[in-house]
Amino acid sequence: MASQSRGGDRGDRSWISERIVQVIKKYVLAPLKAEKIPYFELLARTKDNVYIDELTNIIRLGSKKIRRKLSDIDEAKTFMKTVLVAAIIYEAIKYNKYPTIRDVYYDAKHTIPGTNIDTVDTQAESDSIIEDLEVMLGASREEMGLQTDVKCKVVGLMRVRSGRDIIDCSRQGEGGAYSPPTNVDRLEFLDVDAEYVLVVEKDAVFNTLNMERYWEKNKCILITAGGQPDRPARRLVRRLNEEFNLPIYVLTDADPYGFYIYSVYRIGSITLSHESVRLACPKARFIGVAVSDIYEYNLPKNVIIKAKDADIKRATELKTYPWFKSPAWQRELDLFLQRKEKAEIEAFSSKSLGFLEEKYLPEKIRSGHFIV
Amino acid sequence: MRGFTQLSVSDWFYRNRYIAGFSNPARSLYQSVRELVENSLDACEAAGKLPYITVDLKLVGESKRPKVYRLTVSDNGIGIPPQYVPQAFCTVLFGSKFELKQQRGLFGLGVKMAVLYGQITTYKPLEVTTCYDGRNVYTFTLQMDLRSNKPVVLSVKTRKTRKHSTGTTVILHLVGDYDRRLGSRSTGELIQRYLKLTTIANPHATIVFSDPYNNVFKFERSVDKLPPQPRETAPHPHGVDAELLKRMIESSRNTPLQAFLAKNFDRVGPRKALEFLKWAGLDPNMDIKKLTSEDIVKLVNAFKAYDKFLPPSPNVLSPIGAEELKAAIVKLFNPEFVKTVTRPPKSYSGFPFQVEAGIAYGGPVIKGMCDEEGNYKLLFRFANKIPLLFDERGDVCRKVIESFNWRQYRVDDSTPIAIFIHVCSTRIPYKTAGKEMIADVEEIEDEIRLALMDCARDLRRYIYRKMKLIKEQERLNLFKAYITEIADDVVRIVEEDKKKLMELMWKVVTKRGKSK
Repeated sequence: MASQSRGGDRGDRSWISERIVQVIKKYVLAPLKAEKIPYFELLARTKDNVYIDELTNIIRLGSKKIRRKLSDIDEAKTFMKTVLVAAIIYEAIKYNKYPTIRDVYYDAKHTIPGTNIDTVDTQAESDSIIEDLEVMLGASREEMGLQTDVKCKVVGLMRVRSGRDIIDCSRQGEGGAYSPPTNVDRLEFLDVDAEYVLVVEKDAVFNTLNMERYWEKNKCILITAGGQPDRPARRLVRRLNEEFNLPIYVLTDADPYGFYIYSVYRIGSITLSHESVRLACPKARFIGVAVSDIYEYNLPKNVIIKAKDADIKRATELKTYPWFKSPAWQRELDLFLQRKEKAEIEAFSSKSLGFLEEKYLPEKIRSGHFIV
Repeated sequence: MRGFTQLSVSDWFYRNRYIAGFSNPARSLYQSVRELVENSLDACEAAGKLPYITVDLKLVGESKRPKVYRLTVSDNGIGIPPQYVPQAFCTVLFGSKFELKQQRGLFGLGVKMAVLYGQITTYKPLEVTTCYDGRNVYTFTLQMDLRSNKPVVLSVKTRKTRKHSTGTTVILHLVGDYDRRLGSRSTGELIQRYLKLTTIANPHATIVFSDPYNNVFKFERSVDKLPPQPRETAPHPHGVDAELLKRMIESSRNTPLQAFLAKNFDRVGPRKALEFLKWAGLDPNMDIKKLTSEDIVKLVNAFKAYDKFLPPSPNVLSPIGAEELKAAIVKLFNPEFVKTVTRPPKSYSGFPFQVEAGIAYGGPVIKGMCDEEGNYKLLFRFANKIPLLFDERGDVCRKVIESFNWRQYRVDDSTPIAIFIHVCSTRIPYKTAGKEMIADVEEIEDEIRLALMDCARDLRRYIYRKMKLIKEQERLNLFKAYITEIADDVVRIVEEDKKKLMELMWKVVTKRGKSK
């Protein structure tokens, strides 16, 4: 299906329209004509319905299904929202529009005539329905032509074609970076000269490295999504690994939130488990900052931060996730829980300005020791 | 009408007018209306007729203070034979009967108190027109001689009538104040309320009231059946005191004690009398005239201590009747729900009593009154078919309501309900001389509570069903909204008949409507 979407000028979406019609006929019209209660049936995107695929080492959706029955007063609302959002996407395709997911929310939001009931209250509701539709239609929202705010930025030794334009990611000005389109699959890589990709959790560290032209000195590509990675960042990382066999190094703070961000790049997330086949990059490596680095690099006491209760709680949770069950990760998490200390990437600046890019990163990459 | 004793009236009146309800012009006006209306109700009851009573109150003269009113009350009652008219209205009498009966009159003075008050405030004569035989109509103008407590007849006119109807019309002038506030309400509001509630306690009566501003209020009867007449009975041994016993002995002939008891007491026959006297250690053959004061006290104490007398006869009581009370409440308050109950007769200290209660819920009238008063548990109290409008706070009814576990019956602080409580007895235990507060007698309190529980149980069931219906309706409304929206959206995707889709969806959704 993914290959279908890449044809045509802006991507042919008619196959999605057809699937919407099929879904409506199968789940709504057919049961009604038989005077049966209609329900939507889809795979559950819940913690208890995901597993790690041992072959590919990514998060996959299980086979547990949930139903949204029209006859249940609570589920009927979700049923209604599903049909409503499907109609909005159907019409966007029909009239050749590319709305943002926020546009979809505003288009969906209205008071049902003759009542004081709103169809949707928050964007989170319509976003979640869009994800349901991805599962039901077997199409990603990018393929549906839905746009999002792209947080992802990239800079480095590569040139891409986007639409009619050619973008040189090494010519983005002082501290500038290229922001890819929502649908990264529509990017055409022209030439990629890099030896690896460095994914940086934080925007501020990305900017520092960019100002230093780290990517030029080290022949690499720098990517950030400013915290939790969005879909374009994840898809871009995945494509660079898959299509050019580039090693992927993920650099985060030494705390449970950073570790989790790394795991999202590597194996995927629960709520988007239906998309991890496209988005997860099992070859991504955790370059740091590890808890053990705090002590191995002898970071001074005054830059080490005392862990908060929320950090402790999160770390305890991570310890139970199957993808953190490896002995190396369990050791890291145990060390964190024992010392109750964390550190930011920038803490290396306490040793000397430039320590990160001149000492830490090259050492790590050279040594090839990563926590897996 | 035998054996009356006359008192020094003006002296008694001046000393007691406060407790008799004639404390100020506003209260006196209210009290006068009451006395005349209650007199009329008794007259109709005696005639065995459905009461039709008109009350007309008009301001006369220019004077702003004091304000003089003309009060006219007419009834279709039994009428009064002409020879008794002067005495009936102008002589304060004390009855000498020992029989007990459920009575309306508050003080045994009734209308004479109002007449007396009118005369001392206006010096205008009283006019009474009455017909008791359906043929001759007599019109008297009367005055009281306060010193001698004797009526003075100023004039008598007679005329013939062919209407064959009986009845009495009384015209009384008095100083009053219709607009002055008595507590939270004006006298006018109190009079209206009193008349309205009187038709609740007497559902067979119609009362028409024309106020000083020519506003006419008509409170119509809700049943066409007369209530059973209360009968008179001898006193129950538990209910006599030494004074009463002494007077009973004085008015009797020489009789042996056993025969005296058997003849003069409720629930006491010759056998019970003998049994009791043996138990008390008294000689059954002793002549009652020979009993000393000490003997009388001993006898009274023995009465109280002996627990084998049957409870007092309840047939002296005249309850409103659950059905009748319900009809009256429906007519006047038009509630959404009403439940009434008449409890079986009980007794306290030798006096029979009976409690009736009603709870009315919802409807615009009750809701409106609740909102206006900021009180969502309106209480209407009645004693011997007379509404009690004052001193609610100290009344046993209020006490029961305050301690009642309303929540258990799905009644919360904003559930608009009206509670009606009627206590009838041969002797209502009033807390104070004002006779507006029923005392906390344990037996009565228990009966009120039981009556309310009975009503509240049905109310709970009603409210529960109503809530369930509302919930179900809300659920269906939600479905309707969703279905409308779904149909709207489906036709954006596929060509279908929207109306038919909605019908189909409605059908499958309501088919299993009972399940969640």
